[in-house]
Amino acid sequence: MSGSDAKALRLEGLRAEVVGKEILHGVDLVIRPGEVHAIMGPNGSGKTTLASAVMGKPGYKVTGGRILVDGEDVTGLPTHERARKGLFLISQYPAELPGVSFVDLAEQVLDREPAVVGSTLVAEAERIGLKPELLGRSVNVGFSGGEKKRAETMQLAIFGARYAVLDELDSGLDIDALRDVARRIAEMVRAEGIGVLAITHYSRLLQELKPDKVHVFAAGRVVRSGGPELAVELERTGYGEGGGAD
Amino acid sequence: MTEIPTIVVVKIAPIGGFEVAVSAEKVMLGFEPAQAPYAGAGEPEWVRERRESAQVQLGKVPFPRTTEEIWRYSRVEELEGKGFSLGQAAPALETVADPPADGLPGGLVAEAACLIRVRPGTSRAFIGTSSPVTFMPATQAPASPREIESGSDFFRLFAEAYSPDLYVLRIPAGADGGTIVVAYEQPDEDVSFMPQLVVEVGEAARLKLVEYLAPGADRTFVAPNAEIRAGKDAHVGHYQIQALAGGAYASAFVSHSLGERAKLDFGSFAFGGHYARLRLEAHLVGEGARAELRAAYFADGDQMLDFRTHQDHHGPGAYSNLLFKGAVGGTSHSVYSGLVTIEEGAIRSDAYQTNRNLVLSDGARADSVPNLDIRENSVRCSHASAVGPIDEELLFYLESRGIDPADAERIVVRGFFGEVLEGIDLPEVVGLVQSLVDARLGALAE
Repeated sequence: MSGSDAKALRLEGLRAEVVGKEILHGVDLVIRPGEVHAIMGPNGSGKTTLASAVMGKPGYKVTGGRILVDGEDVTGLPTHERARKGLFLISQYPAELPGVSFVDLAEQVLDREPAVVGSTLVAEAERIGLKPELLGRSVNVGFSGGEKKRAETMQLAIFGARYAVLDELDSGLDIDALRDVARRIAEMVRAEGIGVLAITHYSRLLQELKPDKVHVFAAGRVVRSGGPELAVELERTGYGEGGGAD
Repeated sequence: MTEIPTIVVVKIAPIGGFEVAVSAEKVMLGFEPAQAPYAGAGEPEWVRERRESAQVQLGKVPFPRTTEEIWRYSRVEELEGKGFSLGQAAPALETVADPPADGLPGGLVAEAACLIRVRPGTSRAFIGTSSPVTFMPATQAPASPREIESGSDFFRLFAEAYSPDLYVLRIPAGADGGTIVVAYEQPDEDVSFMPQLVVEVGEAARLKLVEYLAPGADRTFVAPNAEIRAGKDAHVGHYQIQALAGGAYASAFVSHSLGERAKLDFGSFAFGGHYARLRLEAHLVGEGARAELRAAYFADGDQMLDFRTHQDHHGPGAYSNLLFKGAVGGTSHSVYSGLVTIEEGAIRSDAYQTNRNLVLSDGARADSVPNLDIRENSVRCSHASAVGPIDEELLFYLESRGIDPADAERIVVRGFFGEVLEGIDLPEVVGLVQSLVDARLGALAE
C-alpha cells in the first residue's frame, strides 16, 4: 500500500458468514476521506452483512480478506476498538437503550467536562433538528424513525468518526428528516473530510448525499461500479440490469 | 385472654438449631437450655392482645417448607440449621437533639426531617423541631387496631409474638410528615432482630418513609416488619433499602393498607444478605386507592434475594402497578413470585405486574412466577415477566460508539435499573441506590 493510499477505509477481498453460511464472497472497496460511496442492491444481497462485518458485530464472522482503517488492519479487533480507530455505524434500526440518556452516553464517549458535553450535544441537536429536551431521555426509546436517525447523525457529528457506514439511513423516516440528516452528513464530508459508505435501496438519499461512486451489490459482492449516473440508471431500470439480484 | 399453649423456646446449639419459640407440638432442631420468650412486661392491652393472637396463630403455622408455594425456591430451610438468640430488652427511646447520623450514608441524612436509629433496647430518635410526627415504643402508644388482616407469614407472626421491638409512628390528619428515615441496626453476631413498625398516616396526611437496613453483623437474622396504614387521601412514599452484610439472613414483611384515594409509592432496593426475603402486601381497601410498587435488586456471589408480592384489590376503581427488576451475577439466585387478586366488588380495578431479570453469568439463576386471581368483571389486569441475559444488541450499540465491553455492560445494567428509579422524589435516596448498584457492578468486574 502506498503512502497516498493509506488514508482510506479499505475492504480487501472481504468474506463473511452468518450462522455458517457465507454471505459476502469477497468485497473490495476503497473509501477515501471526503468521499461518499453508495452501495445499492436488492434485499438479501448482503448489504447489512457488509455493514455488520465492517463494525465487527457478533454473529458476523469474517472468514477471509481484510478491513483496513488508514492503513491499519482492524479485522481482528473488537467493535469498540474499531470505533476508536474512527469507524461509525448507523444501523437501519438503531437500538433503544432504556435508562441511558444521550447525556450519559456522550459523557461516557467524550472524555470532557459534563458542561462541555452538554453544550456540544445541545448545539448539535439544534443543528440537526432534534428537540434538545430529548437529550435527557433514554436513547431512541419511544422515538419516531426521524428522531432516531437525527439522533444517530448527531452522534456521528460529535463522536469524532472518520468513516461512517450508513445502513439504509433512509428507512423509516420522512422526507424532511431524510433531507436534514443527509445534508448534515454531506456537510461533514465537505468540512471534516469524513468518508461515507451509504447503503441504500433508493436514490432519494443520494440526491442530497451526492456520491462520488456508486456500487451495485448483488449476491454478496460488488458487481458493478460507476459514478453518480449509475444511481440514476438503477432508479430507471432496476437492479435486474444492474448486475443480477439474488 | 386465651391460654397460650406451653411455649418451648429452644436455644441454639453451637452447631445447629434455629432458635424458634414454638408450641409444644412443633418440631425443633438443636436443643439447648431453653430461653424464656420475651414476656412483654408493662405492655398496653392492645400490644398484649396482638402478641397473644400471633402466638395462637403461630401455633397453627408450621415452620416454612419449600414445598409450600409461598416458600418455593427459597432457602428458608437453611435457617433451621442456624442459631440466633431472641432479643430480650424492652424497647426504649432516647430523643436526641441532633440527627444521629454516625455511620449512615450521607444522602439518607441529608433528606431526613426525622432520623431514627432503631436497635434492640434503646433506640435514638431525632424529630425535627416543627415536625408533626410522633414516634414511640408501643409500650407508650395508645391502641392501634388493624384494619385488615395480613397473611399468615411465619416470620411476621413470630416477630409479633416474641419480638420486644415494636414502635408506632404517627402522622396526624392533614399533616406533612416530610421525610422520615428509620435505620435499623443489629448489634451482635448470632442475635435475631425483628423490629416492627406500625405507621399510621392520617387522612390527607403526607409522609415519605425510608427504611434502611444497615450492614451489620454477618451472622444474624433480621425480620423487619412494617405495617403502614394510609388514611383517606393520604400520600405515602415508602422505600426500603436493604444493605445487609453478606452472611445475613433476612425475612422482611411489608404491609400497606390504603384508604379511599390514598396514594402509595413503595420501593424495595435489595442488595445484601445471604438469604434475604421480602414479602409485600398492598391492600387497596378504599375506592380509588393507588399504589406504585417497585423494586431493584442485585444479587452476587451465592446470595439469594427472594420477593413475594400480593396486590390485593378490594375497593372499586383502585390502581396498582408493580415493576420489580433484578440482576443476578455469580452463582446467585433471585425469586420473584407475585399475586394479584381482584376481590368481588373491586370493579374498575387496574392492576399491572411486571418482573424483569437480567442473568449476568452462567451460574446465576432467576425465577419469576407472576399470578392473577380475578373475581370481578370489568377490570384491567396484566402481568409480564422476563428472565434473560443482557441484550447483545444494546452492548453492540454501545461498543460501536467506542465503549469497552465492561463499561457497556455497566451502562446497560444501570439503565435497566434506571426505569425503576424514575419518578422517585428523593434524589439522595435514588443516588444511594445507584451507588449500591454501581458497587455491585464493580464487584462483578473484579
